[in-house]
Amino acid sequence: MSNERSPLEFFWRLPSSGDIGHAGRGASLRRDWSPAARPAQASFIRDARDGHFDYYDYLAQVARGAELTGFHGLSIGDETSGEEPWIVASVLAAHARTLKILPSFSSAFATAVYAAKMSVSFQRFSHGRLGWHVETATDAETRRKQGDFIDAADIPARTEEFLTVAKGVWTETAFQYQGRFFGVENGGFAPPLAGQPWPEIHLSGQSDTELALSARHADVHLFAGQPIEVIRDSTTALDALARQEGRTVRHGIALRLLGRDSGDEAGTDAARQAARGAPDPDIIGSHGEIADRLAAYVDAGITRFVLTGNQHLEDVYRIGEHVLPAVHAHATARARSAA
Amino acid sequence: MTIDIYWRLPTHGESSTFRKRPPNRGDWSSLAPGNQAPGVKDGEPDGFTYVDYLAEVARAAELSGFYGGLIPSFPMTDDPWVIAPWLARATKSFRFMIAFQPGFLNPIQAARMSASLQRASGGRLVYNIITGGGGPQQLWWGDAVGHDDRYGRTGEFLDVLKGVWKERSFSHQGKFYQVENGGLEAPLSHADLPEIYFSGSSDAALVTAAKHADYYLSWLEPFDQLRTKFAKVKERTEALGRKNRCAIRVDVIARPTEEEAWGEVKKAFESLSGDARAQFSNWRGGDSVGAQRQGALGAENARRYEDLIVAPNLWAGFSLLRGGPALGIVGDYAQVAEKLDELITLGADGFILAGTPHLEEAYRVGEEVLPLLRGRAALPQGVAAE
Repeated sequence: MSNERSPLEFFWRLPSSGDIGHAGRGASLRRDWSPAARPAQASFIRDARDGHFDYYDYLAQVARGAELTGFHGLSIGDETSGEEPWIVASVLAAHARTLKILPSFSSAFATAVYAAKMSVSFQRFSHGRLGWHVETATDAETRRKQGDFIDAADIPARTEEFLTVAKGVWTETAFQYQGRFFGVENGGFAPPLAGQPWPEIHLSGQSDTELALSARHADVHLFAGQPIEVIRDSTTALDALARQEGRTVRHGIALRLLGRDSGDEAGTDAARQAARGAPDPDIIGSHGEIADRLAAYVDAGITRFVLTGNQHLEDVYRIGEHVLPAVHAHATARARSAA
Repeated sequence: MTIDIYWRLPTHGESSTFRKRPPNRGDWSSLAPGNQAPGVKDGEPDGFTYVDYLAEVARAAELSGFYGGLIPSFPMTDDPWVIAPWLARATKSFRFMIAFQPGFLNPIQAARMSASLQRASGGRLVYNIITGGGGPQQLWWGDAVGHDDRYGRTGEFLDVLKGVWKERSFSHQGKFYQVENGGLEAPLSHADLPEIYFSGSSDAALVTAAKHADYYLSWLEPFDQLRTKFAKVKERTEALGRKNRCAIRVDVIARPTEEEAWGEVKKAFESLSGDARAQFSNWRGGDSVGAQRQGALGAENARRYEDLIVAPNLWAGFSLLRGGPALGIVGDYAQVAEKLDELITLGADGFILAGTPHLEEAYRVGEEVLPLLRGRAALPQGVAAE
């Protein structure tokens, strides 16, 4: 029962564009179990799979692993070579019925009204489990491939308008707005679409403008994995800005982990994965060492963790079973002694 | 030559009867015993949501032989882009015909959503491209673009979507969209482009349809009007060196006897209050040509249900009972099948059928009407096909 009073929430970020698996094969392996993608097998071994399985079956297993091992939610990143986040979000919301679902998307993906409209149905069907992670690539080349030609300097303003218009039609009737990027006349949802819980808004970024935007609009600000001192300074700055707005913003951090029973095993597997071109983890070590590092982030003010790994099915179980309990215990003890 | 017959998902709730009653399926009326999705159990909401009922309608449709179902999109409905993936893993063969207005989605994101949904569903996504009715409703969506420009935007949207789908480095500079070196990446790029059903009755619509539609979709209209419309569409399409097919969206009331079918209509018509007629004028002030054509059938002014029988087995009062097209088919199973065969002969290569309640009527139409269809073979000897 030691998770009772923990203030922490853990999300798992899913593998939108594949998974390195056991890192042992020469060819790139995605754990896409559809016939065209999966590893070939000698024909004398009877394979019952036929055309029955695909990548979404793998995503469902990772999602259920997060659910079984005590994670609070799923984060779905917006990767150019990956599955599209809204589709993954709906498929998995239907499958993992107790998890929060957090798709990432840019404020250029749809009109603010349409994003709100889609989200209202999502909230209705999921009993209010939707979060929004609104993030837009800053480099112009990536954005232009996505049909987004505004100046990087205009991104925060467009995100702000997007959130303002979406919230307006969500909560008001006869909502009027004319902005640079979005407009609406006499907007607003009627029952039963009205009255749904507003999504949990996640924003990220390091600049003063982005922190100020979070102070005005975010429920959670997600920091990238950075040294403790940097996190401490940033959260202090964010809290001051949020206080000026009369709001509180939760502090989150996104971290890629590689944990094993011992530091040596972790090191061996890290090298194996690096040789296969997997992204570098932020923390490599024994489960105990990882728990200690996460506890340090808790001490620096973090209460929401978005964790991921390179071998998702196995890692969600490892982290869920061997890391989360210790970090919850640390936070609970800390909260108790502060009380 | 094949004919695809779709059903419809009722995305704004429905009643268990065609008669005008508060919709007890879904939460478009107050929660009370007898409601479902959500319903009441032991005095509390039972935890089901409307998508649970939509799942049952989709399963009923696929079991009964329908190719898939139209998922409509309006201000008062749940959203098709959420419904379809939600039901993808709970259905086996059901094609998701998502209705959407291109102006609301970034075309590159729409391509990614579509490719992922193809992967999640085993290739079962179909588009119903709609371009909006204009007027206050369009502004409600946040869209101030005028009628002909909206169709221009639809055409450009489809150019860009197809461009990033088929090419790995696609660029475009247009009136509404810009893209530089865009393109779906593998493995999404391996997914099939969805079939495109295209709606719109105006000249601007026909221009865009001729270039992009796989199926030109129309509501049921008096047969001569429809024949003319289809001929015009095919002429324009062939002028571009393309071929397309035509499909018809039509509600049906099919019963074991004609008497029972008209009995349903009579009870439904008599259950209407005066307010109900006004309620479905939601395209007042709009610029939809199709809606104007349906409006000309005069449903709002009828005093008896018989006034709206425009031809044998054709009734023009459906719009009074729910939003949408006025004209639909009423008859016994053989008569309804015969009307559909007539429409096939007239030029229809596909249908989107519907009836209320959508769950039970999927079974009824699937079991009793679809097996009677003979298509163009229904013609008497010596009569030309078109």
